[in-house]
Amino acid sequence: MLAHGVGGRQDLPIPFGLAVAGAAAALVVSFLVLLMAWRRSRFQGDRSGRPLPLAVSRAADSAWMRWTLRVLGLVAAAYLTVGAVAGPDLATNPTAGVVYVLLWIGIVPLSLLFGPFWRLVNPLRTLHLLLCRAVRLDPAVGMRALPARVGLWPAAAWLVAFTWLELVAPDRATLPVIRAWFAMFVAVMVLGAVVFGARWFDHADPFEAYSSLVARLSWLGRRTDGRLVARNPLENLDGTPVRPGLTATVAALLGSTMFDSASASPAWDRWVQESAVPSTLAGTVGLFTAILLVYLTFTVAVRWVASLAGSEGRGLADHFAHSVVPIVVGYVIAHYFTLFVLEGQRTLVLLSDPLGTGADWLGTAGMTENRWIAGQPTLVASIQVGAIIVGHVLGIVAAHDRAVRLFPLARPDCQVPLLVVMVGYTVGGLLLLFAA
Amino acid sequence: MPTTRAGRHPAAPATLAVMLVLTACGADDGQGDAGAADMPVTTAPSALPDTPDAAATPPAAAHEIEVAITDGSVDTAEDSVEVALGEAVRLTVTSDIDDEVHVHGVEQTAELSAGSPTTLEFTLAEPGVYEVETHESGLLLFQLIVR
Repeated sequence: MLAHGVGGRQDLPIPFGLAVAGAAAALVVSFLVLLMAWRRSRFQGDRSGRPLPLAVSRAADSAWMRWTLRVLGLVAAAYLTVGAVAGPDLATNPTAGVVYVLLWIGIVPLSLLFGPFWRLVNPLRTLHLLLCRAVRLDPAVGMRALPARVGLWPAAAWLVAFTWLELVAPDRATLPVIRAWFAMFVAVMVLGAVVFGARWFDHADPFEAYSSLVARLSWLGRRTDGRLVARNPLENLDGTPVRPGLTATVAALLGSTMFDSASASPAWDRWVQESAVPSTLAGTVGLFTAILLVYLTFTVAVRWVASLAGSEGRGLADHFAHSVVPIVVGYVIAHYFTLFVLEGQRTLVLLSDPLGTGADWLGTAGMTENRWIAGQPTLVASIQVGAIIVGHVLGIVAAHDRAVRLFPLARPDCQVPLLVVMVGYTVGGLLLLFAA
Repeated sequence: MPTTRAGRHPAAPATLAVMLVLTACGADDGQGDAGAADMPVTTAPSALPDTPDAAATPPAAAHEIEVAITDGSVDTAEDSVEVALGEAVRLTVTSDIDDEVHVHGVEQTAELSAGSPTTLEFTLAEPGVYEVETHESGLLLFQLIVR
């Protein structure tokens, strides 16, 4: 157990026929979108949406609601810290399950349902806020201004660091390793916030970055006038702020998920086992290669599209990077949803007894885990392929609309390089589901 | 000397089958149902004598897998072994060091003592992919694909 991350059984490989059918569907739909879809941009991003009742908008933004969420985040973090610091370092300790399953995978469904929730519960943001209140400083004002070109680059770097912990670090499910990583993380986050003000979290917190990006596929959004609205997820996605480092951020998310499933294959394990390369080094190189591969293919494809459209391609990748978010979400659902359901329940059971004393603090210790989904390989395979394909189609549509907005005069076939790269991500995802 | 950790497991289904047969027999007693009455007559003679020996001689249906570990290198016939859901797996591991073998995802673990084969028998109840590994040396022996 401890040699791995979390989780025991893995999903069966998807049937070959399903993988081929999925790949064919992705290819056909992509070119249909290219040929048939609109030629003038349709999306209005953050200007769109149907307003929620004013009372709902006000309640969500009220001070008491904000403080309730902050306190919730602090209490949850404190509870987790008890088990992480004082609990026994055994497979029955809930810490690894909470970090890798409930938090890391749970960010996706929660952000799809409630929007960028991690900003609101982020215990480090609250900690910084309380620190500032204690010394009567404005939390928004730091000692230094953060240059605009920093963008999401620190968050991208922290995403790489977190996925390295999750997928590569030796003994990554053990407490000393998790404690050491988070001690460093908390120190850098809080220090950064003291120096640059609370906006540091917008730029650097990997969980906020992840949550805020996935929230761009939510039904819930905020209009430019501040009102909460219900809107088409594609409109929401179109409103993703274009910032430096956005491409690197989505590349870290997609590349790490690709690496996770590639490294779960027996071929990879056997290779690492038999080569003289230490497994941590092999894993590190593998993870970085996967992320870099996504980053480079995407950047080159966008530059190519721009040059075909007769435009200067520099820095344009960040204008298209939002279209990778649905592909990321599709991958995450495909690769982790059974793990989330099964290990999530197990973690909830363990969470009642973080100190290993036989306690039942949350009343979940006696909960029976529902393992029905584990016995439904056909349903699981369909959901996996379905999630990948839906993610792909949303991504293609988002990229198409952005292309016709940025290059209104260009012929639609200038988008082909980007389309090919996105089909590549999707077929890669299906191949990994088939082979690993 | 071989350690047979899960050696008693095959006995359980056999015993259960016999109990069911006996119960069915009791329930049908005197009913004169030809189809049901045939069952115990044909199965009982073959099932009953086997029962005491079941722990020593596993059912022929068990999927046999043999693994040898030498100098941290794994020797198996296949990296991925496919078994049917509910099919018994009989795994024999011989390691050149003291170690522990573990079927990841289920509570199946056995001690390995250097040089002597250890046999582990189990049945997987859920479809999926399970890694079989050693704890001390941290080696992946093979993957079990249960369909």
